[in-house]
Amino acid sequence: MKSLIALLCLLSTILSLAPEGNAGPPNVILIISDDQGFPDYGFMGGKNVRTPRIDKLAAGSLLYTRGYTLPVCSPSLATLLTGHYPHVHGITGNDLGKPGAGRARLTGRLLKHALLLPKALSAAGYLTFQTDKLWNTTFSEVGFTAGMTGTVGRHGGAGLKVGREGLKPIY
Amino acid sequence: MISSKTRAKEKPFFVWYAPLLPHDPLTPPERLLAKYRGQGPTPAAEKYYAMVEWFDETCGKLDDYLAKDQLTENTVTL
Repeated sequence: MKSLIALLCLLSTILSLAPEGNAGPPNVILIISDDQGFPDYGFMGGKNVRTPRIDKLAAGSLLYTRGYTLPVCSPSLATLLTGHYPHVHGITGNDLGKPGAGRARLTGRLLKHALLLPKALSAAGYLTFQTDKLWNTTFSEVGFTAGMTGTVGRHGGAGLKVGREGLKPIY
Repeated sequence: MISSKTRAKEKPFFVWYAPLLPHDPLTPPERLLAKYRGQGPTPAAEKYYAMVEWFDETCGKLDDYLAKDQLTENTVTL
């Protein structure tokens, strides 16, 4: 998760860089896997799976070799959105209420943060597009200019089809 | 999303791509599952391996798209 804090620093650095030539501010794609074991990539030395495309990206990338994620989904996503650890952002587990209690309390904790990654990028003039997983909130609440995932079902509804049913919504 | 809207508005883009591919439900295509059958400790593990490769394929498609549209140089992929 340290890498994710570094990520926010990195993004702020990117946005502050003077554009070279006519290129303008860089586009950014954030790829997040889910429930994937950290050894299960070729570039991590994994032998059980084949990940040639991610390995190729990794070969040309800076690797945060001491970055750690959180053990479950919702706190990890909240950290990506806010840049804070769970003891600060307040999303300390996936299901903090009694079954059926709803997620309003968690949504409130998340949205009280003034700095949210998509909101900041949208304010900086980016078109920001959300697909697939996003918990406790909707794409519009956290400031994406467009997106697909809401609060339907456990994981968010229509946006979850991207990847399994093609990437057309992205390009 | 990337090409039509961003080009039209001449704005940079940010894409959040967080697929649940290695995540339940494990529904890999047969062409990928066939590669891993008999290779894992359990049938469920073999399905998971195939889902990981499926995720990898989609990342490759995104990368190919960027290259095709000459967006690679000005795009940071995290």
